[in-house]
Amino acid sequence: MAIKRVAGNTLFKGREKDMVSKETRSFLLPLLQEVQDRKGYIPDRDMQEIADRLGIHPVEVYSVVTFYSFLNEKKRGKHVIRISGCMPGELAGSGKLIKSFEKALKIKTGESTRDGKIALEMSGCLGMCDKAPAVMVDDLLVGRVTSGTVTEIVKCLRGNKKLKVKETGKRVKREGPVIFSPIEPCSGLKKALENGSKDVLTAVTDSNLKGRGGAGFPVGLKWDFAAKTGSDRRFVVCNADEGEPGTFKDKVLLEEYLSPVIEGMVIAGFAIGADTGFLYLRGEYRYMVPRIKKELARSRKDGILGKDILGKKGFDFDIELRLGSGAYVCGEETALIESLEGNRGEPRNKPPFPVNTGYFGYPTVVNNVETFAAVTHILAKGTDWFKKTGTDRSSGSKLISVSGDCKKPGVYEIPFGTTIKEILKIADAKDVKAVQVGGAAGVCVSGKDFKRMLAYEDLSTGGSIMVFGRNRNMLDAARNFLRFFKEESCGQCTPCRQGIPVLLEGAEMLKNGECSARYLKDICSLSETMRAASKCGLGQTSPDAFMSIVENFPGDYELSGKHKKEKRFNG
Amino acid sequence: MAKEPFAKSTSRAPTSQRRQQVEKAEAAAPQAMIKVVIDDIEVKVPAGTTILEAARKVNVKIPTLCTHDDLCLAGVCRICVVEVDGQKALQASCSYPIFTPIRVRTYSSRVRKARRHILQLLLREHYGECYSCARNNNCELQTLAKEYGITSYKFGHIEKSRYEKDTSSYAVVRDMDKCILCRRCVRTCIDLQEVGVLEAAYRGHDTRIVTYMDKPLDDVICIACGQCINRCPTGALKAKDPAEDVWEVIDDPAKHVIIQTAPSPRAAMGEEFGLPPGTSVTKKLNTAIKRIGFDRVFDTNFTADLTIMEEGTELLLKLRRKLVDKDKSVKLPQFTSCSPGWVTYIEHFFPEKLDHLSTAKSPQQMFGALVKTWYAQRNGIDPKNLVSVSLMPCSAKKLECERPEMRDSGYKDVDHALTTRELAGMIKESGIDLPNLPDSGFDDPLGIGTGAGLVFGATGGVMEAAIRTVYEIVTGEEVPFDGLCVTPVRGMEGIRTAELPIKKAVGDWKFLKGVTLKVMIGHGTANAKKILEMLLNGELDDYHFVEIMACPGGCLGGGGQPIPTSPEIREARARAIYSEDEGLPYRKSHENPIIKLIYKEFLTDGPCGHLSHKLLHTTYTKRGKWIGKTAAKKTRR
Repeated sequence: MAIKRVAGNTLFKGREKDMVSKETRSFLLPLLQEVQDRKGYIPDRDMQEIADRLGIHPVEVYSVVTFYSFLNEKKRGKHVIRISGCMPGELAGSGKLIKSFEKALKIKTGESTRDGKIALEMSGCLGMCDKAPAVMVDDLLVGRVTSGTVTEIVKCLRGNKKLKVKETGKRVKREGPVIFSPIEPCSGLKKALENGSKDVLTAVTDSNLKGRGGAGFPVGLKWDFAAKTGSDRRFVVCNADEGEPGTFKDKVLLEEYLSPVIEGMVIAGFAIGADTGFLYLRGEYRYMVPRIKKELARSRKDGILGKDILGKKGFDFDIELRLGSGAYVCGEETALIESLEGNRGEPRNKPPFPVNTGYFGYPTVVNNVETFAAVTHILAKGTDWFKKTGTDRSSGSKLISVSGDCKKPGVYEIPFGTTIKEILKIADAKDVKAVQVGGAAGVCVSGKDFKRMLAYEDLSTGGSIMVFGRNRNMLDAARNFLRFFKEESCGQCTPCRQGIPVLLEGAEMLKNGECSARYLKDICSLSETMRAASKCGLGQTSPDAFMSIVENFPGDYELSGKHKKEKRFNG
Repeated sequence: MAKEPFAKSTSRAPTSQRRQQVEKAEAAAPQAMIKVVIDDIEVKVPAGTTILEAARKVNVKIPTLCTHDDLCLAGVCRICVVEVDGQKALQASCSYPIFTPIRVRTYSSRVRKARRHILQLLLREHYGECYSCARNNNCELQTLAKEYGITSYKFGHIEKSRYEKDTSSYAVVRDMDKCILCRRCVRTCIDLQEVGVLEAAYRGHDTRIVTYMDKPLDDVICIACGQCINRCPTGALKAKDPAEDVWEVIDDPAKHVIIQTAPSPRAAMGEEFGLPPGTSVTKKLNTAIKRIGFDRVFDTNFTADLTIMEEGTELLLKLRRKLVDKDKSVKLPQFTSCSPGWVTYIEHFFPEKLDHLSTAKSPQQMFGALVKTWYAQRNGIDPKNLVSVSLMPCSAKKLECERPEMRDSGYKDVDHALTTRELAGMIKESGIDLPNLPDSGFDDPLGIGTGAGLVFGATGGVMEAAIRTVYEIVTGEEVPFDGLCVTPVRGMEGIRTAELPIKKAVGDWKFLKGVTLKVMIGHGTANAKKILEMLLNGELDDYHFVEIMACPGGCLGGGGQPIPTSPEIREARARAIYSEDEGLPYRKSHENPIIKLIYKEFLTDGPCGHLSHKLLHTTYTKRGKWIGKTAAKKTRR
């Protein structure tokens, strides 16, 4: 009765049966997203109704709503313009962009126009770094925004007209030997089903495939762990929460090469004995939802998903699409699982690892989009073919997304072992001062190290390569990354939550020449603690960029002679 | 090894801490024990033991902040990090389960530095001075800062307050400036108590602990149990302290100030003065109270006995109506109503089950109603000039005495409810050395309580007292337990049941012959919830009487008791209460001479009679769980 009035009858419709299961809470995020879409915010009443329905406390709903940046508990502009505050955007002049939006809308960032039509917000990386500066208008991503585009966007939104601006310019893409190589549909899956799950595990292990998200954990080992854990249910999760600043390679796969990814997930399900897969797509990529849903439906029709897949009796597997809501930390696998379960995206304690205790306690394999695509190719073409590319310790190829000060930003497939120098040549970057490898969580490499190569044994990256020209001050980059982390830390553990603001403050002091050598030593020592004592990968890598910039670019800052004692601040 | 958690982490554990509970170490065969070397000390532990537990076993001290023995683990403060050989990063010892032989170092230079850094970071935004804090000298952050030699704020220190203190609640004050985000309160409120007032909101550097929509505590559904206060490592949560008001009336010669003391504070007060947990100080406390300047000190046990008379009679009458008159409107089992946190809980979360709740007031409120009527009349005191104070283990009592229906004497029945901690503060302020005081007794006439009233302090106590009396009324014989100790209802398990066959019945109660009295005891509102769900499922249809206390351990674990709390401390307090019971001259409520006197002299129409109903019974409100405007709309419908 109560439900009808609040959420317009449809919110819980058809879900009644699922709502009583153990996994009830996992509906929280989809429900909130639905209300957010319909009303532009999540009113008090809906929060309480949803809490009641899911058997949780209203404060838990509120806690989740405030965690995700795409969910709002307060009413604000009907249309939302999100400006990417990411580094390549800053290099391309997002500062000016903010000003022109503020001028055109006569509001400050973070506010809504008085007529309640338009809200202006800053956002993390939108995955548009090759077309920086970029904005997201409601669901639509717009790249290479100029002052002309600003006027047009504002005009369209004001006049309730459909936005005509589109992503400008074609994406630069270089196809390589593995991921982008031609493949016959279903050939990988067919082979897997023919040879049996044990063979799949052996093949994946033999291929020496490592996780393409950046951490580089051996995929075969991960799957093996999950397959061996005694449990009646297992899950496969595709991590499409591509949030690392400067990364947009999964976007290409999801847009243009989705079927090998889906196939890879099915293979994983077959190998470990799972019947359900989740595709966790970052909220920023929600414009892809119809396309992905269509592809999933087609796969179901073709017998790649569903019951008795490709005629294999007893092998059922289906994929559910889940959306993130704007939280970078959900790219961490345990945070992603928390998010899937309907919680704040806060990383869990490890051990136990997801392969043991994952989604609702079941063994769960979480892999990157690119990893699943690679699996399909490996199964279809053999491990020896795959190992031909790359180095001894890093087999295959890597998709990288190059952005920043270069002429040809874009997505490139390169064999492992390619040096930075070679990449810069491909992307046509000249007069380069520094390259940030691995996004905000990565390290900053200076000219003397451009001969280093991309590989798990040398420079590891999830795909982000940001190029900085001769005239850039690297401390600005450090500050940008730290600002990003300050926003995106989950706020759970002390070193990360409290340490990042200290580092940011230190970076500001360095920039202003107010930091003494002694204080710099102190914050470097603090960085060591953050690396060692933080709970998850985000916290542990958050000081890396700052540290490498301090180390590699001493010319970009000046130390103060005086040591300021006990700096006081106003929260 | 580790004690069974009081309330096992359920599916309702707070977000992000679900299923993070390290698998409980199982008692393994000796050969299956795993060897751990901690700072060169070798120890063998069952698989699944955490490093922290293993370290405690060999007396290696690892500092902790977010870990608490009553709660599921969080692993968020990171102060307990240690070096595990072969691991690049430091590991949080509270959440690292041991499954393979490892070597651990708890004070390497990296560890020491990390701990100092973490403390520096926490202190950076910990606003306020120690000397103006309720937790001065009993603050875990302060202690660690001293232990780790923090002498300056290396990474800065916040100068201005960022949050307004939330003083909206009658019981709990929130001072978020002092919060270090250990989330013990969150786990207490959601996991241990299942009330769900507090949760972490926002993220990153903006993370903070909030109520629903950041409303004042008064506007959300807080049962004021104060369990969060007992587990807060700093002064971010405290009880609302009425000591100033109490001093004022003590100093006013025109006022006659009396205090009733509940049994649980007496079993715990010693802890505030450095005595080990489980030291009863009842008689010394009487001396201290008189020295402070209270005019009379009385015993809440007296009204606990009265509660048994009223609640017991209510139960017997209900049983008669149900079994003899076949009255279907009688709702059994009857729930106890002594715990104000529990009463608030059921009013909000299960309002449709309120007719199971006994209408008898709690001992505190019965006392208040009698002090301003019977006592005032007998002693010729104008109730206007009579100030009734209570010493309670409980923060919810502050809320209870403010309830509008608690004015049956024509005045506010209980003017101020002091907690154990607050009265300890007053005693200290008076320069009184409690442990070395001479003993003294209670004042007449409200100073005689029985052992039955005394055991109210522990979970199962109300049930035990009720059984001692009801059984004897019905059968004419003493309960068939050695030394009157009704052991089946004692213990610390979250939910317990007991059965008592009635083989013989006398007088009016012959209809009970052959009936087996079935009772249930629950403590902690998470367990209360389970019991109410059982009730909804019809699983309690054949039960007669259910005791529920809002706090883990019952009153002795109340939100006004000395900090810290742990299963061991609560057990020690329970032991003190039970042993004091065994030494008392009267141990059955109905044998209390003053109880006999009051029914003869004042409440002349007997238990559950007319005057009893006016003064000693109350009504409840169906409040529901909706918050704010939503609640208004819901009730209008």
